[in-house]
Amino acid sequence: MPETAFNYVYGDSLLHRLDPRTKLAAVMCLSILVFREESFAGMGLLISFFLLLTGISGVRLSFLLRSVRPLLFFIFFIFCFQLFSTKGTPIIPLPVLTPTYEGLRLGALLSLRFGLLLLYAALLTASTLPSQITNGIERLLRPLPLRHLGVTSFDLATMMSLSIRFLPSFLENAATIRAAQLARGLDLRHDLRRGITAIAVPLIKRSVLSAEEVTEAMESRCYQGQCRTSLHELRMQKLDWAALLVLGAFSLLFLAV
Amino acid sequence: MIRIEDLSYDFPDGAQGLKQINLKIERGEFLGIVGRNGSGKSTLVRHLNGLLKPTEGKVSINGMDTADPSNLLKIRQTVGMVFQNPYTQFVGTTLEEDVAFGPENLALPPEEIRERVDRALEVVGLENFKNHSPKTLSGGQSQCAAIASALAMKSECIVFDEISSMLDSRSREQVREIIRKLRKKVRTIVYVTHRLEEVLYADRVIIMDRGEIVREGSPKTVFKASDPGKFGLELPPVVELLNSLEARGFALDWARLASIENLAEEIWESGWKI
Repeated sequence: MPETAFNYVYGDSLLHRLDPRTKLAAVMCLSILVFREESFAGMGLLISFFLLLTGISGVRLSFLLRSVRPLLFFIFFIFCFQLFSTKGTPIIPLPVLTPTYEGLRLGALLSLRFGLLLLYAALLTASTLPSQITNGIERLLRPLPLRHLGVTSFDLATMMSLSIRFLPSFLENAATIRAAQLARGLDLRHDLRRGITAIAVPLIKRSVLSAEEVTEAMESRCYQGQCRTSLHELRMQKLDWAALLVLGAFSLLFLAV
Repeated sequence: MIRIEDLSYDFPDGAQGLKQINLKIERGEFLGIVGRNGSGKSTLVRHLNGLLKPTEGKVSINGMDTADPSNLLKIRQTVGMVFQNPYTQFVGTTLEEDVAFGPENLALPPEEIRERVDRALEVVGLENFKNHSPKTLSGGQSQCAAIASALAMKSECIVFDEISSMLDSRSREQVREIIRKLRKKVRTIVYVTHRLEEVLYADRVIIMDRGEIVREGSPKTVFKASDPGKFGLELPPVVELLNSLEARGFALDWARLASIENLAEEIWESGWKI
């Protein structure tokens, strides 16, 4: 089960050294550009920019491409849906589902869009530690008046980092319980519905129990969800401002052309 | 520093957890709490930092009542706690982030957090594992990490709740070695276990059974006077040896018996007068 998609890759590149906030802003900004872009030429430019960043990061392209793989089916589905459902000039006249040239164009564009979004996200996670991403999001959210909703930015950040921390344990538990139930004669092949219950119920029970233990440990260490500091306090460097400037210039230029 | 008066606790389902506990823990003391599973020892220590509130009676830490929510933060800074399961108390994504979690909650400046983290990791000997994730640490190492996390809080007292029961014998020895070291550094230690040999060198030991304190005193008196089997506990071989030696008129100084090696030496030096 070693899933390498969206994992961090150790490194000391320019991209690795940037403040997570800079990178988050960049991904948001680039996503907007990707979503707005209607022409293949523009897409090509965005892909080249992605390749340039990947080159700077030192992360292998094949590693990033792997992040898209789990969603390939979804992307393929979008492509097919557009191909057959868009009205226009038929490529081959078929009685029920007619592929059209307009559909082909739109499908290709949408698939590229999704793929590119995933790739930019993968580049972010490959060059930024999960805890740093959480930290960055927390700092970006801090000025928002979240306390009116009953949460603080610190709460949200803690939730995120706990999810990142305990997701592998959760999957491990699921695997253990599955093995235990199989050993007791559970037949997953013929009775999937019962099989799922037999795994889900103990899994939920165990997770709730662990969650209680985690809570106790956190409370014992004075967690209260209010103002916290961080071991790695974020500080914007000259490099970050420079990167944002480059990004801003690129975006403006891109939108102007 | 810790004072427990007439403490009783009922679980939410109505079952009685603790009955009329009276206990004082002095500053600098190493207190061992032993008892079989379900004897109430973990329930008792969860009252020491306000994780549980007394149904009846009162628990105060340096004069602060644990039932008063406004005291809780200060109480948890005073009494740290290390739990049984090394994995569920590891909340960071890397070792140093986990150790930093407590000091971060205290909103300390980053430089001080860094210093506390480094020092705590040094004490438990994990300074070279800073960036490791919980997945790449062994059970023993994770438990040492939990100890480091408690140390980074710089609390006056640390409660160890069955910290060795999920470990293999080698990691258990590793953890015990750290506890021995800590005895000099942390001011007060409360050590919960069902293995009597782990509290042989405590200043005082209490045995709990069915939510009550049934024996109390120095390890020597408790292990000699009471029949631990009655409370579902097993005398460690070394104590049985000491007891039978003493029954033959050969008294050894328990305080000097910090390890099996010391005991062997003591017997050797006695010149076989038995």
